[in-house]
Amino acid sequence: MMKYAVGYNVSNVTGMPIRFVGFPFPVAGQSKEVHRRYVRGKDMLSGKPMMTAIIDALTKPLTETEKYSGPAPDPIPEPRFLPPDTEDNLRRLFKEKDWTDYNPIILPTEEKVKEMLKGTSHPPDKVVKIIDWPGGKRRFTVEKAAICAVMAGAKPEYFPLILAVGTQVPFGNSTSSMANMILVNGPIREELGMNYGGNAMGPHNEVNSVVGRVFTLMSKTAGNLHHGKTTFSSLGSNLQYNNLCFAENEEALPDEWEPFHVQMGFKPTDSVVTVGTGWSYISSVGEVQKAYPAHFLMRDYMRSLAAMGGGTVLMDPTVAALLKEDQGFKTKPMLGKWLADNVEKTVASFWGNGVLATIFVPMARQGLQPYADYLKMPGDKLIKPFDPRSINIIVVGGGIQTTWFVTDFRLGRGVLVDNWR
Amino acid sequence: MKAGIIFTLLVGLLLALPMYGESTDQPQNIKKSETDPEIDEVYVAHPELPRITAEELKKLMDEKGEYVLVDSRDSASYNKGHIKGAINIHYDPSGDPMAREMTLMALPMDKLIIIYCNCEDDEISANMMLELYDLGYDLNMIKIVSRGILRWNELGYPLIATEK
Repeated sequence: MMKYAVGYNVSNVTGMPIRFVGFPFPVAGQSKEVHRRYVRGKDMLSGKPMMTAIIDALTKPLTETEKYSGPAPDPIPEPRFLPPDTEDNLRRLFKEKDWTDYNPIILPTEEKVKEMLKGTSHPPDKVVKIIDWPGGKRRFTVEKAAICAVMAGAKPEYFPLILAVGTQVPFGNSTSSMANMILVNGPIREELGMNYGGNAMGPHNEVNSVVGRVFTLMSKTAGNLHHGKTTFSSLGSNLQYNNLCFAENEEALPDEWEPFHVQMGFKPTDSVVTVGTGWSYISSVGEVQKAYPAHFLMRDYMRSLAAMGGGTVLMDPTVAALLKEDQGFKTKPMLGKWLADNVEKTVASFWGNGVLATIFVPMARQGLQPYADYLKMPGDKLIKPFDPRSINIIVVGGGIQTTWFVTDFRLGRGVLVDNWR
Repeated sequence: MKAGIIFTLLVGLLLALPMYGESTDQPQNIKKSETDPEIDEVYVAHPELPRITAEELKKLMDEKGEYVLVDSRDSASYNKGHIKGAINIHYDPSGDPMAREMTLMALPMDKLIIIYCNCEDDEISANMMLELYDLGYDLNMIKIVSRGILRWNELGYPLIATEK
């Protein structure tokens, strides 16, 4: 964790420089003996005995630098152009700088970036998003998004979608294995030739592949997320290579099952991209069995999810048809409500998740329901932790087999792609 | 092979924006009118977002209405004195966005959420509300207390301190 403290300018996030000591990780779930060892050990920053370092940090007079009060200093800009070099050397440089996902990239020459910029009417210096974590405020512009789009192998016609995705960078940054989901709805799917049919979740379509990849490159570069410097996930997530980028099979939805973007209040003719955050992605593995309908098994699998309040179920159109025709789920929300009413887990299992415990317990102690009640319940008490409003149902796939996924991804508000044309 | 001029990527290349406006002696929510610079106008952040007055909140409390009250100030301010029943979610836009997002996600989607801050212009409450909207919350289920705890205090309504 030492580098976490010193690897970027976190010291000003509270409006003034803060002194740090560095404890080893992990802390959560460790025995008291381990904690004592940390306390009796040395500060990872200064090398002094931990308690001496803490007392020093609290009592030594402030240096001139530490007397600064105000926002974090601006990041130091790098030059807009690199000097000419051989292709091999430049590729090596991009890797040394950790500007790639370590798959081959297209080198973003001035000409290629200019060509990419033709994909939008927005000027190169327009700010797509101001990224303020970690360290200092940074303007993520249309031109910078174009650089990443070139690197990932995108075509100019993908660029409005990429810019809309760019409003949501960077990807999840956590010591856990957080990841993202990119869902596309509306006419842009057809316009670009996205795959929402057979093998939509696999590596079989250029747009699904490239747009998902750009999100990673934008997160690592503009988002400044570099392992060991600004991001410290223990396991990481393979999902971050492509960020589960896919489109909904709107044409195969059963009658009365609305496309996701329409459920969120957009028009069917709007092109919308929605980015979600989550961790887990569980496959049905096999096809639906008549004796144990799909929603029963979805319920069973969802019991193992972290239950940060929401989840997203991805299902083949054949599963959607079975649930509608044979099981009576006339709409997506009806299925979401059934799952919320029937997915139960024990209180102990709920609090057994470290992310939930860390974030929700302090609010439960202040009385926030239902978590305040959960704290008082015996560990084996069953609770229903999902909110029906945050269980999303998405139909995707080619109608080849009755398979599905349950996930704990919680989808945010969609972004209109048309605003970035 | 020479690859020509290559664009540098973005790490650190980024020009920073000033975090705050220039300092001024007058209250931050008093701005010159755009149509008539001689006139001072009271600036309110996102006036289009739903509000509740402190008086209405007090009435709701007295009637034991169902809602979740959120105090967006820092924990020290909250501990010193907050509106009864409020939970503390310190809204810090410069903090880790993931931690902030996950904390906000603890709030229920099926109950009225009422947010207050210690700001004349409701800026912090409005930003928290918009972030909840981005997370999928219904704007019709969230309200901002106009002028927050400042108005609450003006009216002489009670605050409670956190027990140690």
